[in-house]
Amino acid sequence: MKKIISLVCALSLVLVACGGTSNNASTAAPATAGGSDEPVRIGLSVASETTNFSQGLVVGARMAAEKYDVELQVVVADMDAAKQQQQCETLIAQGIQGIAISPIDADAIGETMRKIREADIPNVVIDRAPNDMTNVDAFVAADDEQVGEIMAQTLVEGCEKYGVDEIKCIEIVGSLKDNSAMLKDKGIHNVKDELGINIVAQVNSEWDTESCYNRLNDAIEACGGDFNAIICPSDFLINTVLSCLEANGKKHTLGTAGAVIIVSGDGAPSGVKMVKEDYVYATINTDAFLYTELAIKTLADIIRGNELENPRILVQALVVTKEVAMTNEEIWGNVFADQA
Amino acid sequence: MDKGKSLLGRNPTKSFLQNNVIYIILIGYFVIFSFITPRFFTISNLSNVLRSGSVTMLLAVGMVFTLIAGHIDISMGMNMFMSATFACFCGRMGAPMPVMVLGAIAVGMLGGLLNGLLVGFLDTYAMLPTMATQFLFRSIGLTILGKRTGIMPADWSSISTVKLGPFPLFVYIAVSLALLAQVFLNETKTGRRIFALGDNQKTAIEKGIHVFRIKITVFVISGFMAALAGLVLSSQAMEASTSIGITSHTYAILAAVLGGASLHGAKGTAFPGAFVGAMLIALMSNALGLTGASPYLYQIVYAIVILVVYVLDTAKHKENL
Repeated sequence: MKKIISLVCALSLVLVACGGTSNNASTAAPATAGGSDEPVRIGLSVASETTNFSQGLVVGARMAAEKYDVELQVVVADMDAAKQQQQCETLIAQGIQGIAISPIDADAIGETMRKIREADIPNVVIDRAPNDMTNVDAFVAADDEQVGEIMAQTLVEGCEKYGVDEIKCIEIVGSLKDNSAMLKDKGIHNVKDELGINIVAQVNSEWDTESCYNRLNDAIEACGGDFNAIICPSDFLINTVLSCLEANGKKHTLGTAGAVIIVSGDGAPSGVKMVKEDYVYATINTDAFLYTELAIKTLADIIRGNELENPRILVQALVVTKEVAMTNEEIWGNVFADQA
Repeated sequence: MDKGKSLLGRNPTKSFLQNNVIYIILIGYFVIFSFITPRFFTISNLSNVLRSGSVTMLLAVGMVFTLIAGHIDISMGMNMFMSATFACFCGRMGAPMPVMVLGAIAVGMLGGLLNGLLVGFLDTYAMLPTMATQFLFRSIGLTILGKRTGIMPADWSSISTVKLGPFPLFVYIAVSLALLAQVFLNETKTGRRIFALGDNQKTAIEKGIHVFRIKITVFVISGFMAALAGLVLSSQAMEASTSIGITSHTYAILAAVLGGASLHGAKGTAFPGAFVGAMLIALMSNALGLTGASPYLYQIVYAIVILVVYVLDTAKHKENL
């Protein structure tokens, strides 16, 4: 009896696991109208479906697939680097013609890129640069160093607007092993002295909300609460940052006494919402739709034999202050406003 | 003489050090860092430590139950994530906060019940079954989120921000639960049976203990504590984030073992053990943060502490054989 129960339990677990996996892959039918060439088959690997950025990537990819006559297969790795590698290997085995990847881990993705290159499949990496770029055909991202500089400049604008003379800033860093996050950090440090920003504490969030909350608490304690500005690398962490400020009695709307001037990154719905509600001065928008549109277009071009002009494809940054957030309906933070 | 005895021996001083190493480390930390930074030994910083240590403590209390019973619950972190996503789902549906809280707790306990049933029916060590259910719980959590972010309603932050005196209210609740758990372990028949099961399952059965029921009890308690931790963490982050719970079970095991629980069963306390273990972990991170130490150091310090604890636990176990 126990053996039968064991077997049933094991089988049901396998079935549930298989169900979960199959739900994570979806295929968009090719649009035949408009394209003179045959549809090309491209796979897109994203980190998750539960972050605004990943959702924007998938939507952008589907729009681009229709536009450039692409049969798109999307796989979602649920923030699991090993799973991302397995899914990419499956795409290779399925004979996909091109792969676009938004890596979870800049180190772990190296082996996947090597396998894709071995299979002679064109690839485009999105947003997060692998630490080893040897096997990357093209890379679509914002100029993160420049974004860091823009963040620092925007912070100074915000401080001037709200009458903060001496800027004492806590800088939150995404992750020390994330190239993109470190470039933002570099950009901030390029200009901080020139702009008169005093970084009183640095917090390594490791892209984890729990670490971000606890370490920001420690940083606030370390500087004795004597700070008036925060640079947050991504809107992914903005609710955690505001929750931590609330716990420390420092969450105030801009323009009121004791308000902390915050500049964030991404232009995601959560960030844009907080900009509209006057808790965040600005978020630096790098439109998620654009990343995948450019990636899919580039891959389709390579597969169809067109020459790649520049392997480094830039996504332009836009400063989203309250005025922009209230008027520009095109930014993805507004398109996905119901997600905030 | 076996290796364990040769390593630490049986003399009273060594035995004292071995049994109280956590308190010695804790006092050492307080003394050293109070000198290094004046901000360390202050009420507001102690509040910080309690606040960040409470989530690990809640998990560690649950973990202590499974460890005492001679098992382990690898799925705690993902059970915490699943419970938080269910609270988020209830919030999306417009449910009031008490419903969100009760719903999350019910989901956590159901997760624990499933673990208990698997371990009980399969009559096996819990590592593999709970490893399997951790994937199941994550999958369920992601399905509940339904391709949306897990942003919590605005009033959800009150769980972690409402204060009573110098400390957040949930800290008092977490410490009280640890005390209550300890009373349960010491003073009830079920508590003593959990120890008996962890000591020797065969003997426990011979004594007429219904081990299946005990296994269900410890895993349901573990699920309950995971759900509570999920409530606090999602309130702090204001999101049932996909990053929740990925490494939490590691810290829960570490806290429980630091506090005196044995990976070999029949040993451990919820209070002071799990409480002190969790606070030591929080202190390590806090002290490094206050001194502005390199973020790379965090993992190194954790690695050293884990290895020290493992060596001590193994030595103690061999000595007791």
